[in-house]
Amino acid sequence: MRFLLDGQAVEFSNGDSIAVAISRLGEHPHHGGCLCLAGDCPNCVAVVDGVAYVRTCQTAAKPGMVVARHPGVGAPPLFNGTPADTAVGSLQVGAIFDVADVVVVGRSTSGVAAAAAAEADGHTVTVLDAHEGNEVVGVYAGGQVVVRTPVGMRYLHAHKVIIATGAAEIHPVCEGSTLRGIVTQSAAVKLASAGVDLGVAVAVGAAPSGVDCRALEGDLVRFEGDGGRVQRVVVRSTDGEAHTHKCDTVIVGLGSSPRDVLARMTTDEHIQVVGPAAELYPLPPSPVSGMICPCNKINVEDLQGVWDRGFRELELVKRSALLGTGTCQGSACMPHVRAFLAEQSGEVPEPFTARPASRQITMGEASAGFYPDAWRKSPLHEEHLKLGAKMDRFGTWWRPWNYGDHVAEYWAVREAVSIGDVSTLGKMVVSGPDAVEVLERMYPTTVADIKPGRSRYVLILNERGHLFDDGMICRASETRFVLTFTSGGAGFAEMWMRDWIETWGLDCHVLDRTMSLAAINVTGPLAGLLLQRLGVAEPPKFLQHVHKPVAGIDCHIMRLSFTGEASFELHHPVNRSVELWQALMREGRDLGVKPHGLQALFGLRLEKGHVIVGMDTELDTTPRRIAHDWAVKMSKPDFLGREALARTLALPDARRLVGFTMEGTAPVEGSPIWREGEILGHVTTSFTSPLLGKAIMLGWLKRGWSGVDPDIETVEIDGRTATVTETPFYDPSGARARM
Amino acid sequence: MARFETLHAIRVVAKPAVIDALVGDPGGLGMGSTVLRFAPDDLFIIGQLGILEVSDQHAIIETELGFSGRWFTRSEFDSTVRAHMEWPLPANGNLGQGLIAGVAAKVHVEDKTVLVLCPTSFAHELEGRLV
Repeated sequence: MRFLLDGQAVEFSNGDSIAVAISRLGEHPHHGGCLCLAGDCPNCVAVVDGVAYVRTCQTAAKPGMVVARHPGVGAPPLFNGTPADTAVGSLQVGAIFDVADVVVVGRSTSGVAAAAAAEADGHTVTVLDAHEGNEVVGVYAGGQVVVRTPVGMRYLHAHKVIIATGAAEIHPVCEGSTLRGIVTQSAAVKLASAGVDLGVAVAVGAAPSGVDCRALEGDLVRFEGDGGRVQRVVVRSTDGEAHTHKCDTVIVGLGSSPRDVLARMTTDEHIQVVGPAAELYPLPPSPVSGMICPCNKINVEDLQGVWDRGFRELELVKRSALLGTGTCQGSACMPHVRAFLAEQSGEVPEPFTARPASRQITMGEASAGFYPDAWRKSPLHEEHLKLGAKMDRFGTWWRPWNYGDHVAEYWAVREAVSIGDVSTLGKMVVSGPDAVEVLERMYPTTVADIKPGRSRYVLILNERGHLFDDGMICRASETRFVLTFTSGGAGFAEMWMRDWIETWGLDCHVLDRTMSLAAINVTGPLAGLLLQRLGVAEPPKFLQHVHKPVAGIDCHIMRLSFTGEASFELHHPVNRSVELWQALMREGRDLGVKPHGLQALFGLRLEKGHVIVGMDTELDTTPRRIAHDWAVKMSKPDFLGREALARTLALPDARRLVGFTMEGTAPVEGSPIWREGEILGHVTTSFTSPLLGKAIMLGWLKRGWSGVDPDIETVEIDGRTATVTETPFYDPSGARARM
Repeated sequence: MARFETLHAIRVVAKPAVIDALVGDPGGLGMGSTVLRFAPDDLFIIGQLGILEVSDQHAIIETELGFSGRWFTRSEFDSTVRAHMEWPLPANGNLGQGLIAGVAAKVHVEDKTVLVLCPTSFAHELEGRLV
């Protein structure tokens, strides 16, 4: 059986890890450094089947594997291909969500004992061990355990997590520690039992049993060698003399440290650490030279430099030097860093907090179980595509931006008739004996005087008097209303209303109809004529609403205007939407009907000076700031936001949303508004008006505005002079909307 | 790919006590109907064919076409849907809701089948993700 290492075939035996198979050749899976073969250090990581940072000591060799060493300096190249380019197949990794009673991490001696004790207490125990394919890479407060498995990431919610991960062997930090031929005691045992020839082996510290080697007395000073391989080790004996010993392999026994990276991710009552992972071990001597962090190639001189610059806390030293941030997450370096700081400061620092993941995981593994945002499609989505619409995402929906020529769409609205998909608008029914009282408290406008069959534009304010949505109220009867909300606000509206109704203890039912009803806006001077052709003999007048069939389809027709022209919103069952759309297009053909997208719509409404909540408004926009005081009846005894408005209306407020016009094309939305070298605000929305032949804009003036008689008449936008202009820019009397 | 179909349903929003009475009288909701209680005051009835008697003059009763769903056998559900849920399945006869593959959805569990439903506007997303 063979796999490829840097293009060369490597024979291996059953049971070999990749690292053992490579060692059998007398080579090193990386470029050098002490091997622990326990998964604790970065010295055997390689690219395996396209995935970098794989611990080859923990990965069984398989026929046909493609293994590539990481570069000696720097990180492996980023994966830059397609999933098909890698033997791991799709880069997407599945997620499994599950619950557990007691989870024991590590089938160590202490782990087995803890599991037995938990079972004796009547618990159901799940033991997770990396060698059995369940590598725990994260532990979160509350008992969530993240497990990397061959079939995907497993998210376990456990009542209790017992960490029994044992202890790791300390790696050497001294001159020559990056040479090949240095192994820990347990690694030597593994290699010897796998039949790997260690050559002349010497042991610094106790000689491991079962390994043919000579034990050396004394403390490790340095390794020496040529060609990247260890040939000598220098040890200082108890008499203070340094002795050099020739060898092919050096086995180091420098003590242990708790393998507690998972335990350091959270302190939580659900987490318990047992066995060697919970023990305190003596630190190694403070390092004086050599590479301390093999992950990020940081040496003791670098650490000294961080100390000399004044960093004292372990957490700050870690961040400054990037120690403990590599693929081993401090397993190799932390005992030495703590020893260094203890030597320098006289105090032994606590280990630093660890963060998931404890292992280098792939982006696919990191994103397992997480999904991109979901975007809604209206029932007319396919119709838009057939008409060549360029679709864009807006307010959680896919919506047509234009159908190829937004100016032609604009003129269809202004001069003929056009239809637009407004299925995305929020639609809600409220009904109940307290419906009027609910809406009077909910909205800043008066509701009780709206007659059945009539409608009214409304702002929606929060308790602070800040605008967060707008829409229409349509009164159906004394106790029943239909409300509309913006596309972006619909999701929140039902929750908002239900919450307040419950808080007020009023008797009123609410049903969100957004998903069940589609809506098409028929707009333009010929809109009424088109409806007549489709069976509506008398289309409703401005701000009236009626239930009538259009092309045989039951519609709730609302007469209003966002575009500045006569407009009829046809609310109808979603399953009849395509039929209605096609009938409007067919019957309106000789009238010049065109569909319009958001690009034209935004320009049309901007000519009318209509504000789009969320685009033109900010989080603390009040009605006064957008000159919508007319939509607020402060004479009402109460409504949401009234108290805040009453208080703030007494205060000066220079911030205003203002209209501007400018010669030429519209500037980019968000452009700063300048005056005499100072930024006064920014443009919120802009449009090059085909009708007016110039750029029109709304924008915030956040200072310098003095009200109805402004000091400011001109500003500079996009390097050009713009004039403050009263809105609406188009049809200020509103006559066209009432036609 | 799991195809979701529009659910033709009736939506009843009424006083909770009225809804209690409706749910407690399955015969009154029509044979073979599937009744999901979205909220204490909100009932979603699939397959209701007869005239609905609701003793709340302000109740909102509307045809509901805004949801799409699919019935899965338990084994289909386990192989297709379960891995995309980060929340426990409700007990038999109960309704649960949460994200499935990142899409807001509801599940109704019966002995041998599970109904998964979501707003029709999101159905294409759920279909595309349950593969």
